Amino acid sequence: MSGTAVNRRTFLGLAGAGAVAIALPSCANQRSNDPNVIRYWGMGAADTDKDQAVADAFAQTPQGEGVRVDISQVPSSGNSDMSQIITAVRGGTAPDIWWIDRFNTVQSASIGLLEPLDPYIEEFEGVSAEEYRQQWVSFAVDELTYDGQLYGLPTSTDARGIMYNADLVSSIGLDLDMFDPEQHVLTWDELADIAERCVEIDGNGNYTQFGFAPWLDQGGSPYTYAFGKGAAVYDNDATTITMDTPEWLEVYELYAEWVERFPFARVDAFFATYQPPNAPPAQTVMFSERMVMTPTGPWQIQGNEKYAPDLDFRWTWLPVWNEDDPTYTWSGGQGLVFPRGTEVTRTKWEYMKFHAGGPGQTIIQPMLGNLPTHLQTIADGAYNPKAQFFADMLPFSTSRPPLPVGTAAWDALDRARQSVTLGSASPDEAAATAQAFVAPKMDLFPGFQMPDTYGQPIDLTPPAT
Amino acid sequence: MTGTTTTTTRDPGSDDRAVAPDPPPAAATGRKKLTKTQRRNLRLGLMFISPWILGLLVFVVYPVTYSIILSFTRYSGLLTPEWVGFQNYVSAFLDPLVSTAVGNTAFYAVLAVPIGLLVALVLALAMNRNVREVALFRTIFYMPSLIPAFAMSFIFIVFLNPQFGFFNQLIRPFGGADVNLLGDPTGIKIAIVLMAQLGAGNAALIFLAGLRNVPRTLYEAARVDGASRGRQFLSITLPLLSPVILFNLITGVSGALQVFTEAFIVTNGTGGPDSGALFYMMYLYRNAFGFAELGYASALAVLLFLVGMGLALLIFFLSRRFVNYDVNAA
Amino acid sequence: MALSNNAPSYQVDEKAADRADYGRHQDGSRASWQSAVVSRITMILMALLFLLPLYWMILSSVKSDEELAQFPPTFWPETWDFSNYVDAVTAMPFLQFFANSAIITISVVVLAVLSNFIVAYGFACIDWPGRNKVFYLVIATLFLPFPVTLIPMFDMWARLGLVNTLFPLILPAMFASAFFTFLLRQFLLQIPIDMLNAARVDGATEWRILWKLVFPTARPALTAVAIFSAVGAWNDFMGPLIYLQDQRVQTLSIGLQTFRSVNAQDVSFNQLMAASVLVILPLVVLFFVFQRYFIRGITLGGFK
Repeated sequence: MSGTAVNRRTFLGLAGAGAVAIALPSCANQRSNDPNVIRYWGMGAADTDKDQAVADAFAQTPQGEGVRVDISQVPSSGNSDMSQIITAVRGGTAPDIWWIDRFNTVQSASIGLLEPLDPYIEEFEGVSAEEYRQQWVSFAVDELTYDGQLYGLPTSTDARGIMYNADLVSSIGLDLDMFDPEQHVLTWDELADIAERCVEIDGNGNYTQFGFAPWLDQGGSPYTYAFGKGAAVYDNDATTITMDTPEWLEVYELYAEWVERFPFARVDAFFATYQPPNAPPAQTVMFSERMVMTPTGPWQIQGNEKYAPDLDFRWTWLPVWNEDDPTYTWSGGQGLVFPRGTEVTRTKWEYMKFHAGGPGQTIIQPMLGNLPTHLQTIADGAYNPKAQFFADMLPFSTSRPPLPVGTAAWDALDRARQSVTLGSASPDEAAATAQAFVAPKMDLFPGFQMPDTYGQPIDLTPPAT
Repeated sequence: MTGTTTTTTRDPGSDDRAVAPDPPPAAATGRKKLTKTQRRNLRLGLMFISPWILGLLVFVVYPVTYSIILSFTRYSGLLTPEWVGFQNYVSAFLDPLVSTAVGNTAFYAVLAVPIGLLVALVLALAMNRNVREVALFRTIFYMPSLIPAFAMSFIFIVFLNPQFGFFNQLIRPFGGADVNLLGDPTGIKIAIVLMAQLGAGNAALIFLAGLRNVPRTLYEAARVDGASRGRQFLSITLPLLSPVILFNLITGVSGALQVFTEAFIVTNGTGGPDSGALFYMMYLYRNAFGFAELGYASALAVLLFLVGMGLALLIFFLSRRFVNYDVNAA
Repeated sequence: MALSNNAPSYQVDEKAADRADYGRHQDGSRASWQSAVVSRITMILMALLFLLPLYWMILSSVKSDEELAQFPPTFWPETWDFSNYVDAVTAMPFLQFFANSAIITISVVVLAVLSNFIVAYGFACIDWPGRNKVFYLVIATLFLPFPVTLIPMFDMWARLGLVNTLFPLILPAMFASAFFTFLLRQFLLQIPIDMLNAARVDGATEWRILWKLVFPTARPALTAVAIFSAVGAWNDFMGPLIYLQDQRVQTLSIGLQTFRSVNAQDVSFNQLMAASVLVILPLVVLFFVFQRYFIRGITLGGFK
């Protein structure tokens, strides 16, 4: 019957069209099988030169001879969006080595996203992971440890303080000595008075010069001040999430008090005007001398040198609640991990070791302005001398708690802070919401214990070699 | 499926009135018993629609089933799934972010759907005017609908920026302080509602199709009877347009429940200030692809599926009394 | 697709009909000049409102960095700085993104037009028992909230090893979509069944009828499907977001967004706007060329 024949042609036609479509994009899934190519997801576009410097140095070593590091940049650090790597691992297109924002490691390991390093350390280095990890700052390796296994090697770290424009401080008529970390630690009350004196307003009520607000920059996360109040996310003894304790309430109340002084919307408009999203890196409120001080860290140093070499930026401590409170800070940083599915070879291991070990850190950290985590590298002083203030903080600094809900907790704290500063929730409500978000997720890990060393003073003595 | 189709011997007229247009004349001549021609036609027909049948199985039946199964597990896509019963559904009801996301999405839908219908209708009426340069107007009104949501989002980011934008120039003369609309949890939702209105062209075209199907003779008769044009609009245009309104209403609601791209780009995937633009789809996406909580995300997807289908059916049945399918009668 | 205006005789010459109606209301009464002026002014105001964001986009795209940073912003560029366009194309792998978008869009359009045309023919031009019942199912899937399919589809493509390729964005177009099938069926139903039957009596096969008889008539509606699917594919964001990670395979939508968030420091607003103009341009040209067929294709079939 002719109809049937015709319809066979229908399908041939369709199949033909499909074949055309398939032939058009020459885009087979390519995961290189070349043992001398390492696919690496790096630090971010602005820092490709640093990744490249390490890769070049590695190629000069006997282990790195003939090895090509394929560097690509994907959005991963900064916020907690890990969709790129998760999608890539599930789709079988993940890189061999990934530069991870370290505090995400425990949560990533808990969902099976990463390969544990312990077997490779034993295989390639002939020592136990326990011994091998002694080479790095303990809080940094703690952040990479889940369920007794090490999941990555730490690279950089940092700390937090207040950066201020000394000339602007003087010209406003403020006492520079109050900002000198040798002489004084600012209290919140003092800082509030200072901030009031810094403000300039135009006829429409817009800020044209601004002093300080605690939610700006690094203050966006309540963690920054929580460490000064002793507020903790997790109680290791009671094995419970503690995000609604009185200490957390005091942190949120701090934000609430400052919002009353400096309305959030007006500060936001000030920023959107003078430092809009996507603004070039040279266009910041600090560089245009519209803002007097901001909570930030040593990574800021390279930008200062590059874009505003003539401005006199200096550092002081994060503000304390009472006159005699101890100073405080916290440290973040990154690490290198093998995403699940990586076929770990000696070459890949050697590269990770080189990048996160002494040689790599010695190259990268001075360029970044950040601090090394490799103890011998710290002892060698391989970092920007302007970061010394922060290097001195390391012995009493700590990291965010290494929890399988680390990413979720960071998100929840950020949201709680936003609710308080935008006035949509009281400190009580914000804390309760954060607790309600994180606690059920932690229930899936009953009796979880963070490493004993977490929160302990840091010994910066390098292990004897 | 073949079973149902072969046992069907006749299409009752009442069914035709439900959604589909009138059957073509030939369909009405169906007989009790399949003739040889009918069997041949059935085979041919099924062959011609076979791409759709295959698509239905691969893109509808399989994924819906799979989602439902997955929603009862804890699964990261990386480790083996673990059966957890209704745990994910319980979590969804306790999760404070789900309530935020539902609230945001409801806020968006309540504003965007009626405004969207109105804007689309007004556009369609304008596109239907008998002026010489109507083609130009049609192109202008439709043009923003061609703009990708991501590009439109970029435009709005610039448009609403206190420094580069136009928006604050409007407020300034009235002595208003600068506002960063995208920095406010309510402002950002309103901005996204406004952004959606520029894409009303698609719905407007569908309205236009409906308007052009209204028989001219009805208006002429109304004029003879002395009805004003306002009266004509209320008694002829609107009733005869009602099936199209229903179509646009259901697709509008469905689209509003799934609002995603604009919010994702404007907030860079974060959900915006105080999660003000964290819509349900964004939270679903984030759980699925950002946190690898596939079981939980599937439960959220199944809930959205149920609510979406439920709302569509509800609207459909509520509208039965108001919707007029007799367009072709005239 | 070559489009000519030799409409078959049973179709109304819409243009001529329109022309006779200029300046009249629908009820046939002649509009007074006052009402003509009022309606024109309203339409012009609406048009301005719809053009405003586009204007701001083009305006921002030709401003220099200094002028963009100027406060308050200017409403007409002081200098026309087209270097933003050059920068936008060179600062990011724009051409690569563009090529990927084009490959996807062209493949999707070809496949969507073919598959939907064939399926719609099956629903409209062959009289088989039960076809209307089945058609309700098509309509029901029109309202299916698609997110429920998101995770399973990703899993399926991942198992096939096709994540990070263009296939997940192209192949689904091979299987007719509810909306297009609906649109085309409505249009094809206008074709007198007697004409088709006469051809059948003459011994023409369905395939031949499909191409020789129905295709020329259906061109406006197929144009509408082509444009709708082109716009949909060109503008798709969530698909590329989920399936395309490597810059090598990324489309304009996801490429620009990723590039913007990774290199926030390197992409200024004026470049972003220039890139946006370039993204929109092909669609606007396409639409402008086929506008008449497009509108006719949608409006003639009617939505009931």
